[in-house]
Amino acid sequence: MVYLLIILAAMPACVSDLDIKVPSTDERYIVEGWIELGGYAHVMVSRSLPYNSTVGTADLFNLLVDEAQVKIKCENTEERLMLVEDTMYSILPIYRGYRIRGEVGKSYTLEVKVGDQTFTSADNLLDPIGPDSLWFSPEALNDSLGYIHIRIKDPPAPGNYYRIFTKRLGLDIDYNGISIGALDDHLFNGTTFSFPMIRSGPSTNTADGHFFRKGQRVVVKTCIITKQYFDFISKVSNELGATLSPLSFQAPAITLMTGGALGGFGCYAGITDTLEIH
Amino acid sequence: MAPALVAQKPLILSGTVRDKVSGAFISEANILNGSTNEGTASDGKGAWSLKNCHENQLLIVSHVGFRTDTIHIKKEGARVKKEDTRVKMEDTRVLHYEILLVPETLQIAGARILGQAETWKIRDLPPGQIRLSVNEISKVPALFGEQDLLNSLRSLPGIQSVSEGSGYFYVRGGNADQNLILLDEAVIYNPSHLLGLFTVINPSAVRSLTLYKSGIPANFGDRLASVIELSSRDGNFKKFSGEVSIGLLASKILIEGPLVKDKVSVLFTLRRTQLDLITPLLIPKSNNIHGSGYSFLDFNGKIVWNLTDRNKIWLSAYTGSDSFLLKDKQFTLSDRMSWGNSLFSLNSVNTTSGGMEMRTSMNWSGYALDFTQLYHDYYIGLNTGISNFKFKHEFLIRPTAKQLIRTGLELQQYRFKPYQTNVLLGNEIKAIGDSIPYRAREAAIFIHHEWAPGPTFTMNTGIRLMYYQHRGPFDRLVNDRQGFPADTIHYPKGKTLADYLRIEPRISLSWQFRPGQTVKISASRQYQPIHMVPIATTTLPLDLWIPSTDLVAPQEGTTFSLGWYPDLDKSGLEGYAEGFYRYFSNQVEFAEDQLLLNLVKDNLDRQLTFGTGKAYGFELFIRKKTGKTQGWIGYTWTESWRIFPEINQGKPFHPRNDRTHDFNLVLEHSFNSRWEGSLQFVYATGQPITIPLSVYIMNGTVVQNFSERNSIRLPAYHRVDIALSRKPVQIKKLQSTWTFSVYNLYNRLNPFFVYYDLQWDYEKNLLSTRTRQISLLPVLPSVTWTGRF
Repeated sequence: MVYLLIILAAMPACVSDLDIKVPSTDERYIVEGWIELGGYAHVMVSRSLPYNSTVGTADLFNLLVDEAQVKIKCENTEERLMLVEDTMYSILPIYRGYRIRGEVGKSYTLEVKVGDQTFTSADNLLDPIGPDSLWFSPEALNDSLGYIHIRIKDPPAPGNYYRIFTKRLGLDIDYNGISIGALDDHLFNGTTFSFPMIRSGPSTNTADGHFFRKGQRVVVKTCIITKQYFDFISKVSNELGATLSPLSFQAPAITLMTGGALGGFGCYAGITDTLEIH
Repeated sequence: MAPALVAQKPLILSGTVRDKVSGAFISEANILNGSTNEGTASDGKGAWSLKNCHENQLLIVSHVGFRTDTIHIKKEGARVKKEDTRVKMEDTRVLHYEILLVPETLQIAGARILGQAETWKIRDLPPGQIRLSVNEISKVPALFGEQDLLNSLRSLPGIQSVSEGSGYFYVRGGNADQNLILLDEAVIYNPSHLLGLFTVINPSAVRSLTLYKSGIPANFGDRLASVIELSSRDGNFKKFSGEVSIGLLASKILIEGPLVKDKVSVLFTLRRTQLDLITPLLIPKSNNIHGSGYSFLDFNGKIVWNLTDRNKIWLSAYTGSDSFLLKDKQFTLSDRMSWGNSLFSLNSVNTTSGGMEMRTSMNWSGYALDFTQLYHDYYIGLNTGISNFKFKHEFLIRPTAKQLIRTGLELQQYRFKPYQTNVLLGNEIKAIGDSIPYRAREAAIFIHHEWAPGPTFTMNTGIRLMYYQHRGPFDRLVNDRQGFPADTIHYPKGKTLADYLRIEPRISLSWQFRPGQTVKISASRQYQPIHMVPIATTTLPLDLWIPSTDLVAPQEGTTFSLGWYPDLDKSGLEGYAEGFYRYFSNQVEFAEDQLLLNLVKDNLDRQLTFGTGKAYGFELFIRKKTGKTQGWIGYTWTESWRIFPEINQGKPFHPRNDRTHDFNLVLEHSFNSRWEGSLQFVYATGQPITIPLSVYIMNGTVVQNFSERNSIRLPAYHRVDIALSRKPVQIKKLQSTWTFSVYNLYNRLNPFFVYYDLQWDYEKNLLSTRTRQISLLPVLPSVTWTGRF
């Protein structure tokens, strides 16, 4: 329907800045944390910024909360995370662990203290599920560019939630999400299913756009997440879609954190495969 | 042999008004007792009645476009003044008149006779009721030269739209689904084409429109806020004629004529847009979305059979569809969306010799939307719809000169398909979503009583008893521990899942407490067993209708109104001031934590949350009905609130249709015998919206944190439209009319759609966020030619 608006807007319609007064809003703390199978916990703690503004790198650094006490707990073990530079994930420093690793079947609790406020969230690391196969197909207008298709055999029991990332070796620093933020198996529970993938995220701002190119080597990471984290990620994706989608639900941001911060903490059970595109 | 009239005993006059040339019934004809100045107007079927009349008084019958007729009320044997007006004596108290009015000239919409007063007055109508003739509709300047019923309605107090191009309208703070739109008794579920730019019903096929905003008579039910009763036009009973109209966006043709002269007539109209022909010119072949387009088409038909002078039967049909196609060559994407209404209505009116009228209607109506998306080898389809079959039978009885009783029953059967999503998995298309149809039945009996003990007091009372059932077959899904539907309880065919019995009392009073000063009061309680779940942040045709079920109770509404109707006749004006208060419960919305239309097989009614609403305000209306310059001013002040425990943290919020101030000015001026012009000025407080107040970075991208629900106001909406019409010119057998109009004269950029522009320059690490608006309709001149033959 957005496109119907675009077609109507192709009539003599106008696009302009909306001139309304927006009240100033309270600053919120933002927590984004995760732990991967075999990896260590990573947590970013930042502040929100007002709408209708332009911020540069220096301003982004001002968003960082560097005085937080961040802990990850698993069973009877507890680790305080360190604030480090890690450009793989962010230009901002990030809190990360070095001792507690992600293991299948374990539960993890994140605790973040800023001043006298405490924010917590917990999640479980599930069994991973990998793809059956990966292959490439060209797009309609340029056969050098195209899609990566993935085929997954979903286990018979319902309740599997997937997130898939890709990384073009030599081009991308980190994994990027695909256009489908996350998907659950209610559509295809217990069956073998496949679908085409295109890229999303910062690296699409090039001539290749959202497509993959022949000659590239692409690592595909297929992750299993919990239902609560799937719901959270889906709603974050939905909010992203709220920029134009008339079907989006425009509501105050959702959060998995207790204590008033926005954001969440999730466990990823991931398996990686590499596809060389010919 | 007719019995003699008893001297001094009041008479009831009743009958019909028809066009002498075409034989068509005339609605909105004014019938005035020249001695008492009391009057009435003929209804959508041309029928009328007038109480408290006496022998030797004069009856003045008028209608715009017809020669005014005067009838001398005489007892048996008396001659009527005009030879084309016949009088029939029925009994001592009721005189039946079949009045044939002579057309002044052959008229088309847009042309009218000036200087002739329309003798029915707003203060003579029941509280909260407004009638519009096609002629009055034509006073409002047309968008793209196309007269529009909804646009005309929105120029009246208490009726509002959400935004420019909105497909719906809102009455006194109610929701869009709380308006019952009837065409010849059949329901129209979605009233608009092209995001609300056109009403689905071609105005050429409509004879009159009656709107009930409060004090809704008990013969209407199923909605809380308003009833809009559209009466389709009869075809010409004398000769074949037609009308062709060619505009910038849409063109139409109307053909009407007798199948059997004076007995059976037909009328057909066909209308379509040319937008699909224009779009390829706007989108060049080099563009990836070339081939995309939009079109709409609608058809109205009516066959009328006058069995006798007192018996009439007619079949009305309407079907209309909108179709939208988006192709994107680069992404091998093809989106196709089509939606539309259809209805068929078989009606009869029978009048007995005693003046009792029997009206019967059997009709079917439905609305459906289909959406498909082909993306590479990925397919998804979605369809939703509602249909109902209705049988209504009612009697109109006049036991005394001072009373009218309207009683009957209504039976309805509904079928809902909330939404079904089809996904291609391998070679198999799998249905998910709420694909299980809902079935419901409703029976209602009603009695409406009008009592006018004297010329200064009228009381209308009524009661409606509604019994509703949600029935099987139905599969009720039950959650597993994870909160997903895991088990199913099957209800077999005919099994009742839920039923509701509701009593709906109605009362309205009109009291002329001193000469020229009338006060009107109304109170009513209504129930609405079906619900349209609002999901869109802008107006879309994606209407999800669901019935009341074991989880969803019927909406309940209570309305009060109090109005003052002064007599301003000496100044050539009429007007009123009226306040209202509304309270409604069992309102439905999607729960805030629901992913809209998520691809999960679930019952739609399990994804809803429930709340209450209230609205209050007042309306001012002044109309000038005589002279070279005519028109009206309407103003409404309203506040409307909703409270849902699970939305907006339980805090009250405004619905999107809340407009604090709403002002309309409509003027029409006759410059000379050839030209006339019209002007409309609209002002409304900006609509409340939800916008992002802050952003944050998560998951490698920017996420928006939205404000509380509808807590921010858009800029005020205002615009001026003008139109200039050349009165009909006869060229041989063709009557030609040109209309030139300018929509949004001073190019006000009213926001039609608001979106949020996030730009992140990854190389420079520069993030900018802006709130942007699309203004759909800037200044738009247009020309329309209409030919009648």
